[in-house]
Amino acid sequence: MREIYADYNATTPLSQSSIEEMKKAFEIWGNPSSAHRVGQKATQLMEESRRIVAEAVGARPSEIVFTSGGSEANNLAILGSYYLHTDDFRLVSSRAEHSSVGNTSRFLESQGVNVKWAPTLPGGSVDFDALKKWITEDKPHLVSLMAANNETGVISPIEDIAKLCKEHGVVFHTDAVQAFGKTSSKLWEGADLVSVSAHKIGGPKGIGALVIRNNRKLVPTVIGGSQEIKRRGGTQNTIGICGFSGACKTMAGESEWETMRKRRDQLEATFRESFPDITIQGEDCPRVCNTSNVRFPGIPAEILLSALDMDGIYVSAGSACSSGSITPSHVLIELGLGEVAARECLRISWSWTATQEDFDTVAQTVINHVKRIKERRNRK
Amino acid sequence: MPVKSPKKGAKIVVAMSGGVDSSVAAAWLKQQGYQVIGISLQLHDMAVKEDNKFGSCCSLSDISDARRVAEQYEIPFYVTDMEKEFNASVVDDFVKEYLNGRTPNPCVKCNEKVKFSRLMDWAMDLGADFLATGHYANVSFNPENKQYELLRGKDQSKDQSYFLFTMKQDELARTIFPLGDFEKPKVRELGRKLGLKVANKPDSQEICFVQSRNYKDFIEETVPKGMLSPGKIVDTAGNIRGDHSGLHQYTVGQRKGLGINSKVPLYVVSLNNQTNEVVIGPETALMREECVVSNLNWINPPGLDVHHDFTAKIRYRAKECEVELEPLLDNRLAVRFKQPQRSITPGQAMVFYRNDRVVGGGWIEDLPTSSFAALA
Repeated sequence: MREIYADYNATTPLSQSSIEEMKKAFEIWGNPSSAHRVGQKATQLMEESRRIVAEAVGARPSEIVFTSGGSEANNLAILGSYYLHTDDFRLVSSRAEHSSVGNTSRFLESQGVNVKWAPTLPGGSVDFDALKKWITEDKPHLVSLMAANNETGVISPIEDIAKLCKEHGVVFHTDAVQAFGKTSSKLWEGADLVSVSAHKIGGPKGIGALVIRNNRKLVPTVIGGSQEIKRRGGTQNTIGICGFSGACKTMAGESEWETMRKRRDQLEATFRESFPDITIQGEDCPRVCNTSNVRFPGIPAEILLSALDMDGIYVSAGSACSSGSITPSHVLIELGLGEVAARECLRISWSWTATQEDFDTVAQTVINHVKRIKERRNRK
Repeated sequence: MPVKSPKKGAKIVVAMSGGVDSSVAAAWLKQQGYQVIGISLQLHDMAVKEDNKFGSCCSLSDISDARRVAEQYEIPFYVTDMEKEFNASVVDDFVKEYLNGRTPNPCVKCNEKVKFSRLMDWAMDLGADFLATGHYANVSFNPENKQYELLRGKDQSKDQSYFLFTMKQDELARTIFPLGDFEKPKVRELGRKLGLKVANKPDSQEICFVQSRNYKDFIEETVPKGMLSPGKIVDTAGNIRGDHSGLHQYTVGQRKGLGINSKVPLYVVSLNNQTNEVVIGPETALMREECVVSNLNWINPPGLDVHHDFTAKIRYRAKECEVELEPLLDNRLAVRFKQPQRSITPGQAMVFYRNDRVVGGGWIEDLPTSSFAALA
């Protein structure tokens, strides 16, 4: 059975170049904090990786703080800002954020922090006009809004928000985990703090980074030694860092994005030809090139997922809870879809290496299953 | 009558709880060459109960047991969250019944409302030909009247056909019980032969969502305090004999825990929801000659045959008794026992058999037969 993995927003397979870079760190195993030559070699390897990651993210090497992944980067951005202003911290975020931002903000709210939830538009981007008022009038300490939504792929007006924040002296953090590698890093060049993760672009799990521009202060959330410009304690994960830079080297670029976008749009059009009643979340918004979130009304996405799984096609219908059952995306529910509709949404997120044949196979297989289920239900 | 057996290569969804029965059912079907798909149901909030040491049906550790069996036999395996449906049609009903002074049977409700409806739908949507469960029962097809029949499992001590009386013809047509012709020790032996780690796992005893707790504690934790109303314990002559703190703590036939001194042993005879009284009496007061059964389901409608000699089970573990039936209005029956029966318990299912076949069944009511109009 030919397998097609189309769940790249969840994670990606390791790229060959990532594996090669990690192998280097198997041999160069020193502690970058050691002063001797064994340590120095590790430092060199790590700093070379830092340069490569920095270039890919659109930052200076000195602005890169390696973390254990996107979630830690998001925690560091928010909690690290909060610890600077515990008395009167004011935060603006949205309910369509990844749980590592959303639940961190909710936790602060439960501790009495003033959190304002920016209204979201269908698809997941924020309502810029509503946000404008809050930024100009309330002058929060931190605005944290994602660059691209993991469920829908919708891109928020990050450039405008960054500009506005700068004008009013407000720190702006963006979770760019789902945008990184799928669109130009220019999108978040105005943000003060940017979270990225390696395993969404062909790198290993357990490594990510927070870009901290202009030497902005943050209280570390992992308190330890003076590693990572004193923003993140702990001996660096040199293998992970090398894997991260290896992945950056072969990351998708402009031409891959264009190809993916064309094929994605065609796939959605094919679905619509067969089933005019489908909705595509965030269809009218700017979206990253690889993501389709399609609702087939009346068809539980969980069933579609299982049926596709048995055909060797791997997609998403929400997140698996500890038992393995699927919980529909909280993001879709927040976006006003409601629980029933959210359970009917299938997320297909493509690889930059997917071929036209892969797209065609997925289109045909999904259509066949939806048709079969509809026919059965009509018979009933 | 030949037991229904699926055609070669049929696609079969097996409801896998992680216990020995459904694990053997799945692995055995796979070994027979069927396309097997495993499904576990998540029926309660696992996260809260993860510290539970006593695995009963469908706890987190049971789901991981099921997953292991599936992996071992290369069975595609999925977990589906039916907590909402389960709460709405099984747990809520269980609590409500107890509060109303009845003794519910949640396993029948779960089979009816969750397994053979929601899960059946799931399986059919997945393109399966059949849904299989690890119940000890059988389905056969009668070519004469072209009806499916529900039969007892071969193992008399394990037979679970009682819990399946609500099944409809179209459900039976798409259901198989792979263990129906096995005896339990054989199933364990088969489990060992199949190399299943769950082969020696103890049988689940409790109601799955109540687990190791007492059902009374479960109800008290579940409902607001105000819904548990204290009342009086009275004897059959109407004398007040004590106090109780809620009807849910009692069941008909109960002897222990009444807290009343008496020379003759006293039993709960009935629970009066109207007056909120627990009625107690001597053993003789427990005997009944008739009762009403409602919400009937006939697997094979008996038609004019209804007066004929069926046997009945008044609860799962009861010895079968001979009955005469008289149809009443609104899908009810008056049931007359040839020998008086002890502890007829409202809320329990009464299931009618003819030889090894489940003809149908219904739910025991707490009103006398005289309060309903006869059909004819």
